[in-house]
Amino acid sequence: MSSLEIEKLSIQLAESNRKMEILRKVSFELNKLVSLPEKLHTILAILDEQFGLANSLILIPDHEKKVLTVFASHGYDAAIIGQQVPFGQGLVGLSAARKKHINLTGIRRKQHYLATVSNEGDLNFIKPIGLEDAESQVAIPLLSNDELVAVLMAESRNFCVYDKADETFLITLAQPLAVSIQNSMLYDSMEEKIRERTAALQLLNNTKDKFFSIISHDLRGPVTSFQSLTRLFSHYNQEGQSDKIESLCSKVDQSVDNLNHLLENLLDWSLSQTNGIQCQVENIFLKEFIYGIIEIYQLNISAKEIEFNIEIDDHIAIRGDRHTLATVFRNLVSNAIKFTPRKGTICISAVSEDQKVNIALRDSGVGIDCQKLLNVFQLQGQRSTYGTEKEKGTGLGLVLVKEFTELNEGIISIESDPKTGTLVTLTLPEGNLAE
Amino acid sequence: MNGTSVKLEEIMPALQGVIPTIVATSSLDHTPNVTYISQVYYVDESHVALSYQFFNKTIRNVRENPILVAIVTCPVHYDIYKLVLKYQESQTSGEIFDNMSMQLDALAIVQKKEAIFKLKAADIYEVISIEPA
Repeated sequence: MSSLEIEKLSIQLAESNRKMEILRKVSFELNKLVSLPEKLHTILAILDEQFGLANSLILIPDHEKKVLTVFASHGYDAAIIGQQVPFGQGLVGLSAARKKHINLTGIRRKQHYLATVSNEGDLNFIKPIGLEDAESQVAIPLLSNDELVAVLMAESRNFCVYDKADETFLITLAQPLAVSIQNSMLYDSMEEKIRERTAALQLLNNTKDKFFSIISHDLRGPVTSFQSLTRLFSHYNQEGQSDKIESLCSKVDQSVDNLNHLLENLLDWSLSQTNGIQCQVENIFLKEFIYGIIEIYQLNISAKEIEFNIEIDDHIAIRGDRHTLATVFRNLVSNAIKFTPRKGTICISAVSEDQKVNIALRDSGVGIDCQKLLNVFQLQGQRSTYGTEKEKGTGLGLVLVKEFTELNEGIISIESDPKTGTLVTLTLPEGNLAE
Repeated sequence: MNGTSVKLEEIMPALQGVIPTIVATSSLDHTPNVTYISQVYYVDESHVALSYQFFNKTIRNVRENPILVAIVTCPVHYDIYKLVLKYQESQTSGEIFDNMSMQLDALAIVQKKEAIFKLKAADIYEVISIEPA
């Protein structure tokens, strides 16, 4: 073997070693547990060090495969990150659209030639991404299972000449790059899904906690009071004090009503959390409907000597699900009675306008503390407030009111002042009496 | 390839289109024609391709008389090489055609001239000889 041949073989060996070293370095970087942009930036720096690719970009396609966005860069200003290129435009866009690598040198001379031959004189370029005066560009699509994952683009103001071996080597590098980018993206999207699921589970957990809290605390009270009442019944019966038994009956009535109200709310709320509510939309004459609700609380109203006024025209109708709307108004009326002191006033009025009915429920009660008003429709941290005569609740009432109002395509708002009372405004769809 | 002291792979830089190539052809009646072209494309160790975009004198000549001489310059060392080529066929599809077409499109699209410089065919030539000039 001649010395020339030996020298040639030595050069080839050195070149192979160099490429092995590059592969080793790139593989090492790809396996690091760092963010994808950081990983890609390091790889682009390696390509500069080993191939003289002083300016390089990695662009990622959107889901529709219409636009490429710069994801990582080397040798450019930071402002290039996020810039976009349509598929098919320029070297990068064309490489992406056809999933083939392109290598161009002497770009400006060739473009001047095209401009001259086409007799159109001045060059009329679409502003390229990257260097405006690049003389050499190479674009390599990074494919995984024939799917375009990204495009690697490198360019230079110098005439860079790559032989076939260099080109093949860069294409070989493209494979692990593509897989790494794809894995990182999958990992990121899975992390996002995990975050969403965790938030949803947290919400469900809070709901469950609230549910158990209600069961353990808020229902125990009425059940305990029944125990006391039955003992009193037994005692008065033994003592022959039938007049006291008579007065106990009204207390039993009251406790039963409260318990019933609590249980109804609890059931409605748990159904709404599990999407078990079946709405049946119908036209409802409002005045008659409200009177039906008030009747449930007639005893309470009379006991507190509250003046209750209804200012609703006979013809006004709303459109919605009777059961859920009954829950809304029961809770609102119950709250109004609870927080209005003895001999106070409650007024329900309604006006129809633009196919909507605006319902106002005003009481002369103790109002809602402004801090509490901010979170009055939130479940978290909800605590029931005792009424003016120690009436108890679960804190679920207004949460349900909002949920069911919105279920019936309505809007609710509350204004309150400790000096003047509370105004609840509901806007619901107007009933279609022509049906 | 016959009568060549240089291999095509050794002059790859000269086939990148950095420095224009001079091509000389002649018609059947030996009327010569010399012109510049942008690039001679590497196909394999014994073939190159020239782009056929416009029906010009060069194209007309090789269709009559298949011999073409190309003078290429290496942009690295400025070495000059004379290639004697023989026209074999025109390809309008396939990998060589696609690659050449993409390169032309990449240049022309930036100026919105892709329709004007559309590649009609990739003319394939056998390399008869390569000599330093």
